Amino acid sequence: MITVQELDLEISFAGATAVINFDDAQYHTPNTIKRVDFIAEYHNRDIFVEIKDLDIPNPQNIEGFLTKLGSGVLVQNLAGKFRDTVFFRTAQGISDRSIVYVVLLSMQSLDVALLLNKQDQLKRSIPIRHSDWSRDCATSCVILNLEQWKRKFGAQTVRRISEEPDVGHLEA
Amino acid sequence: MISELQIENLTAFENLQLKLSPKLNVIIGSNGTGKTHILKAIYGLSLVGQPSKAGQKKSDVEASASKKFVRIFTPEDVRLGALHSKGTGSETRLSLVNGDGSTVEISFNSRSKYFKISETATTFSHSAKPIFIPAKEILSLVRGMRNSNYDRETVEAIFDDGYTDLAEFLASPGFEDEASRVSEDPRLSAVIRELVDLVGGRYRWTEEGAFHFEPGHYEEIAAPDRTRSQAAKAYQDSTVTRFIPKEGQTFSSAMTAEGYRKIGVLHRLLCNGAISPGKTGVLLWDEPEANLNPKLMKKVVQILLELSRNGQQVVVATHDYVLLKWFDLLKNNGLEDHIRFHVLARDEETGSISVHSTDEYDQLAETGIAKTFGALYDAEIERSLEGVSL
Repeated sequence: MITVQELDLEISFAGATAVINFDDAQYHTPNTIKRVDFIAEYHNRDIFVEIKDLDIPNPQNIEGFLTKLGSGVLVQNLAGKFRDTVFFRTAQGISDRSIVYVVLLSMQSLDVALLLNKQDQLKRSIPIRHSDWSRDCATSCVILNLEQWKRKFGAQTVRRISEEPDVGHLEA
Repeated sequence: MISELQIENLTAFENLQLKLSPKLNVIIGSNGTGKTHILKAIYGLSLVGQPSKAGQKKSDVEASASKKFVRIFTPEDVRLGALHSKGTGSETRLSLVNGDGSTVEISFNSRSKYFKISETATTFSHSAKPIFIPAKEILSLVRGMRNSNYDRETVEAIFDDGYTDLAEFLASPGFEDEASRVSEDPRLSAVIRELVDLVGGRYRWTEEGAFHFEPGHYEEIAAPDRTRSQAAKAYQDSTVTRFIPKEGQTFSSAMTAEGYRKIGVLHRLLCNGAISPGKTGVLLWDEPEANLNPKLMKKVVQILLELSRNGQQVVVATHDYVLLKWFDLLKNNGLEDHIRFHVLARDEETGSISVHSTDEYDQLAETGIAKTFGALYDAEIERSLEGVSL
């Protein structure tokens, strides 16, 4: 079990052989490649995980996020992160594995119709397939909200840190 | 203005209380949850509340009002008692509470031929005429429905009174030829102009007693009689709004898109004063989305909001996500918009219908509409992530 943390969310990968914290500025400086947050490696595939969490306590700049969402900039960013990460991995010589791209978009006020629409846009934008390619560049690409993530991968795979009872401070 | 509807033992409604917003109300529910029945109940009760002819006996008023009420629900020749909930011994009771506290109440049981009316003082809000726009488009049918060569009984056997009443409203004379009145209320005339722009023309009542579509648009032009000093003084005061027809022919309304005809209905009702915000009664619109291009929905919602800002109470029934979401997105708190969502749900076991009302879109209980998209989303995720686990 490998557990990683992204701000207020803690995510557990039970079956992964390794989880790379790919969005590490120090590792990438001075290049400007866009990168997904985590790459979870399994024996036959990689899962790229990008987390957008707007349900953290005191979120910053929700308006800015909504503008990006509405204008299509967010989808462009998500697509760019995927492409650049694939480029980096290919240059590393890791190109024979299937890739699943999972974006966890936690924002309660967004409804599923909108997520569905953004997901379709993301697939087109990356793109996942092209008539001149011999195979798709990813086996799948999804945008999940927190509820759907829990339903698909299990409630135990994600934990909102701010919601946990503060057991560490119990007085003896 | 109607503030509340109470229903006891009407068809599938055992006990329902609907507190209405004075501005916009959106009734949401899957098919079979009785959205249309609620609109019809409000419409029927509003008509019962209309002042009766002086000197008419109460029993006569009740008899004719009962017949009318039943005909709003169905064109078939059924008794009033058929609207009574099956399997209950209690009376059916419906009441409408107006903003000023006055009420109209009717009551009947399964054997009743006519209902009993009890109402408190007839007031202005009682007499304000309601408008009901049914789900099916009728602009193209008005001619047939009102044609005296056709057998009246046949027409009435096909259309319930929701349709025939609207046909009468549509046929009443409009002011489109009298350009001066278009500018009567600048905000409202903007709505009319928008409706015309939306479909690229207007539906006009012709001398043959039918609607024809005339392509064109409204334009503000200088008043022919304005003087030089007027022109310098205030532009607004010395302009008139005129319809500028496009060169070419007009079409019979049946030749135009059905969605356009729905816009045409609203346009017509505004032009002939059947809808006059602040003066006429509640506007009840059943499934505005039916046959409407999704692109037009945003505009329709904007127009309904604009009407409500002008004092028009509106109740819309829908099961369309796009329409519903536009209400949420276009609501402008700065303009004091107020929208109340009423979600109808049917209990799987008892079959009885309950309502949950909220002013906050975010607080909407699971609607059938949201579930539909939820199911699509789930299916998409399931397909995409088949066999993938963390």
